[in-house]
Amino acid sequence: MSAPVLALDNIEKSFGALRVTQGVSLDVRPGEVHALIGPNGAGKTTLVAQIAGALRPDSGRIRFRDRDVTGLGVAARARLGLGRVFQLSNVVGTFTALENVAVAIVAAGDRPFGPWQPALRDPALGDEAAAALARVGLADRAETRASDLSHGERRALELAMSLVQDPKLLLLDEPMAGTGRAEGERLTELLLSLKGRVPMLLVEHDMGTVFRLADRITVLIYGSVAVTGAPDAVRADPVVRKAYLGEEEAV
Amino acid sequence: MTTALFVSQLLNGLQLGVILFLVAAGLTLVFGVMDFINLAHGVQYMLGAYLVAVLTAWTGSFAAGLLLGLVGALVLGFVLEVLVFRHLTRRDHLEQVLGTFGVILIVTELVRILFGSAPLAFPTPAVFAGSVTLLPGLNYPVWRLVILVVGLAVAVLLWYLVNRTRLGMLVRAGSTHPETVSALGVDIDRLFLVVFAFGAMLAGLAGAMAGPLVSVEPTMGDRILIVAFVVVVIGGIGSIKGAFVSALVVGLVDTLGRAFAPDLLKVLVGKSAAAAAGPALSSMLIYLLMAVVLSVRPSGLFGGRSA
Amino acid sequence: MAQSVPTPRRAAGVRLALHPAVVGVLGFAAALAIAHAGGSVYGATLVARTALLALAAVSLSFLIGQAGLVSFGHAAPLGIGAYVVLIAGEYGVTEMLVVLPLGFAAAALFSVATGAVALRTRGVYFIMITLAFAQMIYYVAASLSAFGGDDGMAIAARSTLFGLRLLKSDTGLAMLAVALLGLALFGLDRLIASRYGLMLRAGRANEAKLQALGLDPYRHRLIALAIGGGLAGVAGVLLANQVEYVSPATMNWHVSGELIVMVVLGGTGRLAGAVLGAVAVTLLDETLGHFTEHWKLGLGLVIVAVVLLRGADLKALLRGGAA
Repeated sequence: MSAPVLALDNIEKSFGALRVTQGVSLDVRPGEVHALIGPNGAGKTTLVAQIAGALRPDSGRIRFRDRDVTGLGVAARARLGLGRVFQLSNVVGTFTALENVAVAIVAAGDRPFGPWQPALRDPALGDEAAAALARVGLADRAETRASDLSHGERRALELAMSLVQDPKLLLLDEPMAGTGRAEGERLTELLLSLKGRVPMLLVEHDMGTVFRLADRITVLIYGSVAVTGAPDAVRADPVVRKAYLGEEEAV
Repeated sequence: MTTALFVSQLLNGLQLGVILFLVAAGLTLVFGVMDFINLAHGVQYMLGAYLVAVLTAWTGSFAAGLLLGLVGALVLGFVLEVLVFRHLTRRDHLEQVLGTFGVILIVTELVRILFGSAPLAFPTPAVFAGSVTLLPGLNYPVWRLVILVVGLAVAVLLWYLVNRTRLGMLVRAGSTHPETVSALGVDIDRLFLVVFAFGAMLAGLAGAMAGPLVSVEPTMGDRILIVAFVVVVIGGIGSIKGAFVSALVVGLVDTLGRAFAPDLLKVLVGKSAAAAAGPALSSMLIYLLMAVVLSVRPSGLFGGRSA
Repeated sequence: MAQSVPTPRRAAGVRLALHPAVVGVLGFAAALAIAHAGGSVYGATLVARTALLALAAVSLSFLIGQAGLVSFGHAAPLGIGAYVVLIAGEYGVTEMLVVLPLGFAAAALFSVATGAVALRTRGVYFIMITLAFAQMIYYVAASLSAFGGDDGMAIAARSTLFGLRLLKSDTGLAMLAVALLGLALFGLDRLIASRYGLMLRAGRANEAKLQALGLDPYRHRLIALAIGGGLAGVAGVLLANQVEYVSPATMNWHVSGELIVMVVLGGTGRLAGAVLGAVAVTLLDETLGHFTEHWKLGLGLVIVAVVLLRGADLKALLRGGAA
């Protein structure tokens, strides 16, 4: 088996007396969709922040593409190919959809300083951005301001911004949150179409989506890993049923 | 350099420090609780000096003038808060800068219309006139000692208020976690009003204390305001302890720097170079200090909230 | 925003004619021509003064509106440009083609040196730190006893252009100021639309996202400070020539405040707004200033009223007034 794309080794993080991340180890293998689930307050958000580089763990190592990235910040990890879709859709609201994608292309590119030529009149940049929008089904929304897009469209836009950077891993933080049924379905189809090509770490509440997409599932409870395994094994796990799935299904 | 000279400059530095603390205390709390940048805080300092000077002359008694003046400063703080500042607290910083800058222009110009641009007479209160011999060869003005004592007393009082009362607890919590305080069901706007007016009174007290030492004129608040900003930045926004420590440090560095840096430079780089660079360097010292502190700790020495 | 996607339907010629740089230059040129035809020296002085203040305001608008850097120390690079004229003049250098780049470079250098520290912070810290550094350079200027100290001093002579005394009259100076303002508007607009400008604006609107996309905008912002500061330095060079006197008062923090007033009154979204703001403030100064020495009271009232009424945008105010 080839080396994992992302590997967390015994990550610890405390806020004061509160241990929010307790010796978490997990990995994402090439081509795999690895879902991270857990009840509210399990420490998913904190863990995602540490993977993205926004928070520094107290101890433990994070390896990404065979490099120790524990000490790197958000921008440096992104440059290595860590794409991120935020829990709350995070786009530049005052920019059009096309401009947003252009930002993503230029930010990761080798020419973020070109001072003279108007960026959006550069056909290479414009065409690439338009193609990326078309791929996520936003071709006809290119000139719409991002703040005027629907929630699901913003999600798709964010995904387009990540994809255009040719990510080596996608960190998806609750992509289904707040989307309507039809939008959620379209988004799931989109993610399914990426499956196998881009490895993903999917943090998600919606169990339907998780079980449709994931190759493996890790369950986080009270900041530590309760179980990692194939969907069927996790579904059958008594600890998980008690702590998590039981209450979900009861709702 | 004699010991007497050094001690007197040391005391001058501490005295500047406590004045700065009185101004910076209100500033840092208002920043902390409401994330509100108030450029007009220097105006409160100026108003304090004018109020006490005028009321002392009117009543013929410094005690009465000081008391009435402080009440006046408090009232003016309330009025400005209700008229202008409360409408700016949830705006972005740019608008706060603009609005409070407008207030400076208005108040400064009104004072100029009422009292003219020339400095106002503010004699040292007769009881505290003269000087005492602290050391052989060191006669030190009584008024400056009074400032030191008053400043330290206020620092102790503030420490008590902030650390030992319910109001203080709310202020402390509010300066680091405003959402939490709102969630507790506390009216953050009323908290702001109280903190703001109290801070205005402290700045007024500082102006009244400094009055006999500096020239009382409409723009006197400008200089102190910017140095108070330096104090707040070094100490960390929202921290009373930070404001106190950093005010004393800034007061000492500025005073001792001006007194001794030119001489020190003479030894180091020769007389003519020192004569040219000395004054420039000594006036830069506190800003360089700020730059160094920020390079190491971008949110100040005791900054609770990151910048 | 000034840099909205170009509308392909509109012909390039029309687009150029409507470019704020062109409109601005034509407006000022018309004012100058009218003043000249009327034989008014005062008119030329007013145009020169307004244009150079507009240049300073535009450079600040670039920082505030595009880069998201609320500098409260913009009087510092302005004053540094003015001091470059004074100091170079004392050493016998009065050629504009030398003084102008020198003023740009000195002001840009100051902005980068202080910006390297200030950019480590955000929000109110950034505002206070830029203010403090400007005050520092104010005191440094006041301690330059060889150059007038607190009081400042008159410049040796107005700068020459191509070795000719083209700037001796305020008309000549006004033409140069208007031309430089037009160049700055055009160049900055171009810059804003470029890849560099795209990153700068994205960093202002959503820094967290830009970081997550792999770009830390620190260097972009430092460059913005250099450009904004340098252009303010150019305005300072013009200012020193116009009043023929340089003093620390140029760097007084009230000047920084008034520049912010111009930028916000005109609207931060567009560079051209700062030109409108500069014109408004200068006209207020000239009209109210004739009636009373206390004209700042009027300015203060206008500012507070605008901010409280949440207009904060002169154009919106004018539209409201016209309706």
